[in-house]
Amino acid sequence: MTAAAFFSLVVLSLIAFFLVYQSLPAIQSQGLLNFLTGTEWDSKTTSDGSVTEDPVFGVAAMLWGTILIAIIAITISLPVSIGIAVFVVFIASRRLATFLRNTIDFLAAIPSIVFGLWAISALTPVGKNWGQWLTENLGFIPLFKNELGIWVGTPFIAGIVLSVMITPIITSVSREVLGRTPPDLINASQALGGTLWPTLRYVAFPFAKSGIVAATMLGLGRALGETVAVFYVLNLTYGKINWYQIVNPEGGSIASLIVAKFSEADPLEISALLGGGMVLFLITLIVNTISTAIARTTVTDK
Amino acid sequence: MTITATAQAIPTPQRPWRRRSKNDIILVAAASILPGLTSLLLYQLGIFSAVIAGLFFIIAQISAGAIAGVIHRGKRGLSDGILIAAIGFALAFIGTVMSSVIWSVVTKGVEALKWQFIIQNNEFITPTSPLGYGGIGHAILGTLIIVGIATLISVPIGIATAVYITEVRGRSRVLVQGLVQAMSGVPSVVAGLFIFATLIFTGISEFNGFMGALAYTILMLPTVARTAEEVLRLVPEDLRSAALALGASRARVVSMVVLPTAKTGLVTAMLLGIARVVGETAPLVFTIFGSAKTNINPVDGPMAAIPLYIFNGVRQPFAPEQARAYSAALVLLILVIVFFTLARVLSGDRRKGKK
Repeated sequence: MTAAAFFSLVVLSLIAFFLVYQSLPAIQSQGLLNFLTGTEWDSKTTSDGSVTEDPVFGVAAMLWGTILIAIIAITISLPVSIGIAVFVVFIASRRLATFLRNTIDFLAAIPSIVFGLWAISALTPVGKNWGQWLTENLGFIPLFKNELGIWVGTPFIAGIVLSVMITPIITSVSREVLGRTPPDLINASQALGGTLWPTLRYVAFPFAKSGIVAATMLGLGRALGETVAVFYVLNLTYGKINWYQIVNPEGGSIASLIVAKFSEADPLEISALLGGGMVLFLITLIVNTISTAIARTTVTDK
Repeated sequence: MTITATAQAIPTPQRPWRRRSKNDIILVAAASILPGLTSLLLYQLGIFSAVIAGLFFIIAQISAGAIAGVIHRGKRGLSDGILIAAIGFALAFIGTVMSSVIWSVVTKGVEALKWQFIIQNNEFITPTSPLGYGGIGHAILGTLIIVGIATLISVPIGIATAVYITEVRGRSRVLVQGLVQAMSGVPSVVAGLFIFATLIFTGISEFNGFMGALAYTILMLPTVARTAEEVLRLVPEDLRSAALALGASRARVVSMVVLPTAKTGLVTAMLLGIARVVGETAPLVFTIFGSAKTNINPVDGPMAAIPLYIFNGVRQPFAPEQARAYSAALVLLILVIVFFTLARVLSGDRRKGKK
């Protein structure tokens, strides 16, 4: 029994060990600092398979791209999730609440590849128009600048897909913590004349604050590691970091990089891709650990 | 004079128990319908472009919420009205997205979905072959085999982990809980890469179905363990105490009392685990390689699976292959719905049984 319980520890350490071990050749050839801060990703292999120059591998552009689309996703998803959670907990009738809960859970069960197909066929044709509108009307804000005149494959669209995928996660956790607000406090607030907003603002949100932060971190972890759906709609650009131009079709995502480059990679590039996987693994592990730690303090606070 | 002023300051009783009066209903209806109607009208008349009409609608709806709130409850109603309008947008957003997702897969997926598509394999089929030939029978078999093996591995370990946390109550219980939580955050692409880096890149194994099953296990285990843990917590403490009082050992309490009591819940845990992994694509890209032939031997060469079939199919620039990919996505979605509904029905039965 104990052996089984520590299976997860074994797996986690093995993941860390093997990803580090197998990515050593690439990291040694690049130097750790260059690997983490470089933006180029080129195996310098020509079509006939001969290597002309030294290959360069750097994950910085992809890493920042991953974080950028995750931020967009959280920005959209957080208000939506909290809104739905508030509705389910405080407003909806019991039957409607059950229906919504099942719907949201079902949304969480839809495979990411299905979201990927939706993103290609339904979201991109519409989303590119939104992007274009943002550039044409709000282009004076650096955020919406786009010099290329193409609005397909932008971090903006990838962020929207991700926001849909993480909404169920944030919603269900927020719903749970908001639902745990002591009924006495809510009744007291209402007795003092507090309508919905004051009750939320002064009773429920302070009570659920750290739980909602934990939920956001959980959603962030999921957004950082999402692969297929992003792979379909994001245009990966190497060589420079797109810091904030979210409607420019230049983005990055470590997970997509791995999927995109994997099939045609030589051993050294595979090793570099494993290094990218290691970076991704570490980041999600940190984010999730913070989330768990926050969630735990909430429980012990009570 | 002062007396009358005081009398005026006393508010009329609000009768909070009467939740909806006729006026309220009219107010809510007006606030919900008017902004949308106005925006639609302005758009139809050509005064506003689509985007402007949309923005106008958002602003008008929120203002309408605020006004309705003020009419209904005075100054205090302002923030409530805005809040409810905003919540309405959140619900509309998720509702639109969800129907759009299902709609796009269903409408594009029915075209190639015929009986032959379910039972035939993809051998001799090129991306341009017409829709009447070939299918994903091989991929369905592959998915069932890979998920089946992953289930066989992860369910016992997952339940054992849950038992360790709830029943054994060892000293490192919190640590194990944290580890399971951390493991549930492992991105699916990393799970696939890990199996690739340890077993395939090193030459220990070739690309085959079993490798895919191992990658799935990493993703499935935390889901099973956490759901099972919750289920085991629901087993009444009295039952355990009674069994212990009868002289049963800890092991017997678990095997003869706790686990049988939680049987349905454990099946739910398994089904949720399956629903979690059945559509995962990224782990398969690095482990099973994909195949057009039927291969039901998980340790002998490349295997096909539905997610991988979709993943490769949709990247082809040819219409028939894309149609096939969407049909495969529809099949996958139906599979997920089946597992998800089964899990829901079972857990619902449990809740009713408890009450």
